[in-house]
Amino acid sequence: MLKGRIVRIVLAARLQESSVLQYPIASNLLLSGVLVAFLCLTGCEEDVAGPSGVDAPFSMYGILNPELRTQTVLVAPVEDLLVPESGGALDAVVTSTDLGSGTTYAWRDSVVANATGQLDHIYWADFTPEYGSRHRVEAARSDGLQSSVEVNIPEPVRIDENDPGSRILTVNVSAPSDFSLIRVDAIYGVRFYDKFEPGTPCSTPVKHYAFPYKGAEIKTNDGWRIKLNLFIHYETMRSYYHDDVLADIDDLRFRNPSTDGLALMSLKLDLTVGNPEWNLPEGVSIPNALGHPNILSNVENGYGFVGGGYDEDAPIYPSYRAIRDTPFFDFMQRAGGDYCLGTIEDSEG
Amino acid sequence: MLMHRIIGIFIAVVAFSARYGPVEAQAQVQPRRAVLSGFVTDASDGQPLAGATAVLRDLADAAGDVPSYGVAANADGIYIVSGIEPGSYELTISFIGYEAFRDTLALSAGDAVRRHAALVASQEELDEVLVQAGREHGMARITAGRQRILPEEIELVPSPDISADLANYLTVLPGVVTTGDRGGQYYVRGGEPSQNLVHLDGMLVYQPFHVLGFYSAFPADILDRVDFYAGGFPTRYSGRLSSVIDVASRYGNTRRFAGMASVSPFTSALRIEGPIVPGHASFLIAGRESFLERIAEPLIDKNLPFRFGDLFAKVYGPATRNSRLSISALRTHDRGTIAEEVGEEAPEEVRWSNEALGARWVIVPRILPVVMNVHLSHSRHQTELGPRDEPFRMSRIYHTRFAIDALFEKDRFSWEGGWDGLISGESQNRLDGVFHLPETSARPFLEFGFYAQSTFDLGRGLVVAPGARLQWYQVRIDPWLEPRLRATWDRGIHHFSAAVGVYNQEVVGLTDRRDVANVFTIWSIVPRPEDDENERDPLVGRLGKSVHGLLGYRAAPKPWLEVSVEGFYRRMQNLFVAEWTAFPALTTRLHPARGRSIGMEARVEMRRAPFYAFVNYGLSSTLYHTKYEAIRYWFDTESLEFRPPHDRRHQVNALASVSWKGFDASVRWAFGSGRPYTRPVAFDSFVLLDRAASVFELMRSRRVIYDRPFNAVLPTYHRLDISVERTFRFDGAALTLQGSVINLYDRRNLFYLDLFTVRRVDQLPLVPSLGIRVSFE
Repeated sequence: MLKGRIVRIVLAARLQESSVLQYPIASNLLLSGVLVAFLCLTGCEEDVAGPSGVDAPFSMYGILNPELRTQTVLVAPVEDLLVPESGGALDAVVTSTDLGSGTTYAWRDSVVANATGQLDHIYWADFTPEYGSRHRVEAARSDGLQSSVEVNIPEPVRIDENDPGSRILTVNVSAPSDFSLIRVDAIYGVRFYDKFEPGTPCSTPVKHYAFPYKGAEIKTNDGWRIKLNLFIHYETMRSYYHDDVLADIDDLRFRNPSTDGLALMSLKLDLTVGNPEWNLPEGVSIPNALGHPNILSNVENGYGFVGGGYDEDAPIYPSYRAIRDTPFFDFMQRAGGDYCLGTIEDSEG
Repeated sequence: MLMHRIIGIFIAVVAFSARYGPVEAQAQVQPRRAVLSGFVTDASDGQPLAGATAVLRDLADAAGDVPSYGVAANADGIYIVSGIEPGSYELTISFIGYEAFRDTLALSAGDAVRRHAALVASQEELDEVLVQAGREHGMARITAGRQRILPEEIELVPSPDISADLANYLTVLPGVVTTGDRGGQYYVRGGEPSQNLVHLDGMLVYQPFHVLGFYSAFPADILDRVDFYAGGFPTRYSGRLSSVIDVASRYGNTRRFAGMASVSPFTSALRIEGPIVPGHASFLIAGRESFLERIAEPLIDKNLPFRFGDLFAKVYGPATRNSRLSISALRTHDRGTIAEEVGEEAPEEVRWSNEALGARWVIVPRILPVVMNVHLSHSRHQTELGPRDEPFRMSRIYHTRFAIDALFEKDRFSWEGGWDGLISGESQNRLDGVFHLPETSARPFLEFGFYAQSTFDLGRGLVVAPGARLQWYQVRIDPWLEPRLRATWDRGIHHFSAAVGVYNQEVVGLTDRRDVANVFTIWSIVPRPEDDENERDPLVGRLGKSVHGLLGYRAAPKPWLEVSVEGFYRRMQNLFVAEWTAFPALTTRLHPARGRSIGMEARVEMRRAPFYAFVNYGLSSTLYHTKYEAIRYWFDTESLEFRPPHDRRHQVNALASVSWKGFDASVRWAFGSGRPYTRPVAFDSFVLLDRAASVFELMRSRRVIYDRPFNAVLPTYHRLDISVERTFRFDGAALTLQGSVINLYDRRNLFYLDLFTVRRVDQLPLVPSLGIRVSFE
């Protein structure tokens, strides 16, 4: 307030002394400037540029699976709006050809809502591609523009377990031709056991916990090698099991690692085998980065990726010596030695 | 070794200062010398008179025309004359526009004498040359990034409210970029909003700017002064990379009660102040509350889903004969939806609040010719996103600040040093998995440092102020050295200034900068490597760092004309940018980035009663540079260089004001070139192929196909605002009416473009406004 007064006083003093710039001149200049600015600028409305657009008609996504009787591919128009105005029929004819046999399949449209409520066009065809075969899938628009993709179906893989008698098991996955491992999970089936209450294990449920090994596989001449460490996930499973099972049972608790713990009931390797093109680059996370149009892109004149692959699983039977090298072994040896091998399950999926 | 080296360098800097500083201060208190000190205030309301001069004339000098000693009072109205030879003196304390205070003193060796002066306003005509020479404020009066802003300058900028506000003034500065008239985000010379240090009476305020861009927690009528550093700030400030807004509120009237009430279509405000102990202690309470829905919304026929308000209180008084104590408190609240409704999807509401309580004790010790400050405050900030009763993201940060410093000033030398720390700090976040931080996290933090800065007047107009700060941050045990230098060189009407400095920031504000409507800011702490449990946090060990370099020139070719040009360069490391994603959602991952900003600001200011005008031009270029694995696959390049969305290349602000027949009229025109945005190529659908299942069973989503980020530029921004004000004075009261029009030619200025719907959200259209203010004293 005070300084405001001072400035006003100063301004007043300057008014009296002013001889260079008279007020009417300043006022006119100001008025002229405002007028010019007003006239120049009011008519200049700029709009914002929308999507730049491309000629590609479709994006296609799907996996041709030799273990399924029905194949599916999502076909999405490449368009200017995130939310299309209508969800009507798609101007697309989708066909596929087995490039080995020459057999052609016509695909049919189905409209399905996705998680956000918008409608997707998922095309499907009833056929089962052969292992090792090659197919071409095409989506054509009525104006002649089309997107297409050629897909190799991988050969069946062979899974061999190499048990050196320690906590680290080696599993070799091999096939006659090149392939990718898209997903590698080790699924453990475990159950609680208390040394001083030998009947307890049979009354507690078997829980299955999956641990990803994707990224840890090693390329070999005929496939991939995976090293399973039976030790490293024990504490995690113990914690999960407590939360999932024991927390709801009054009398059962993990108390002393030397007298109670987890029994290993089953172990399974769960894989997704893909063709070599279905190969994620290192350092790309799923799904955030995977969605970028330049990642996993094999569609000609379009966007997206259509691959070939199938899911495969194999039970793993660790040896008695291997289990003895883990916390599972510690517990089971005191429980009588043959407990694990006598009750281990093949698989519960 | 590193710690020893850093501490060694710091000690060398301090010792260099000490060679002249504290040693000289000690010399001043030798028994053969005397010390005179006191407070200079305005007799009418008790406000300190910064810049008042205290002059001692030796009565033994027969001619008596040469003052023996002379000093100027500092911002708190404190003056100290030290090293006085014993003898008889005439003391004259004067300030432009006030009757001088005179006294005769007989000083003996070792005397420490106090004389407080309450000056009475004079009716005599002012010597404006003196005003010009001593003036520290003004649009063109920028010195190495520093600009002093006074409330009366803030009041000149047209706004839709009769209650002028610092936030509105900041938008006319050439180095300040805002993304629009909502959101309260300010970018200074390429820096980000969370890199601005905002102090109110020494209390750190995290987000003081309200959701509607004309308002902040700093209405003009509670302000005494604002020191705004666009860069190159001195050693007493730390913990931020970009700028400093140091706000000093004024004291309440110690003589009589005064008050103000105002109403406008946007807010209502109330202020009351008065003496607690007449002539000594005072209080001031000011509050403001928005009511946009009731008046402003129907007025402009536009949805304004904002609510905000603030409350400020301050008490002030003498703690002892030679000290003053002030206690300040601030509370603010904001809520609103920044984006607009798209289809049936309602935009998310963001809310934030600030609470701060602080005390400042200013002491003039008897034993030393120094001014000491002791500061203690507690600040708290909380922000939420989502429904009010169940927000899905929440970030809270609080700390206690303790600082103690001392200032010694002598004719050609001054020294400032102290200790400053944030203690008992903690950031708490509940994030629903966003930014890849844990869903809930609590990170305590502690940062503190010692600093020293000396100012040497080397003669021939050259003044240099080297300094250094030795700062400890949570991220490692070893301290960080932050050297800084400011310098000025006066040659007649020409004034040159320069500043360089190193700055670090441990408290980081994380925001998804891809979308300017997303103002929700997560306040987090840079974790130590050993604290990173999941080993995925990109912040780990990456303390934000910035290096500033400024070079400025200023001239006053006429008493009424001042021009200035200042160039700047800053280099920034350990910034964080959101990972680019093709999904139309705002969840994202963070990646480290570096950046640089370079630019120039030119200002012309004219003060010729009754006319006042200025024109500013800002030219700047900011580039961010980030590098992570996926970039190679996305963009076929090892790293990505892009203009961030606040990189506005050109900015012009012009203001003219005139007083005529009791009316005060102002007109302001603002222009800004277009800001970068990401122009999409097209949209399609995406399937996450993570297993060999039927597409029916896999996750599907809509997707945006884009090329490089920020590859296009939005339209330019410009706007004309005018205001006319008339005050009617009555006995002890005043009635002020203000009419204003914002966006006079109703320009459709874009606030933001929704990347996924290509839908534009515009800033305020033409807004006429009429405000009324009643004040009494």
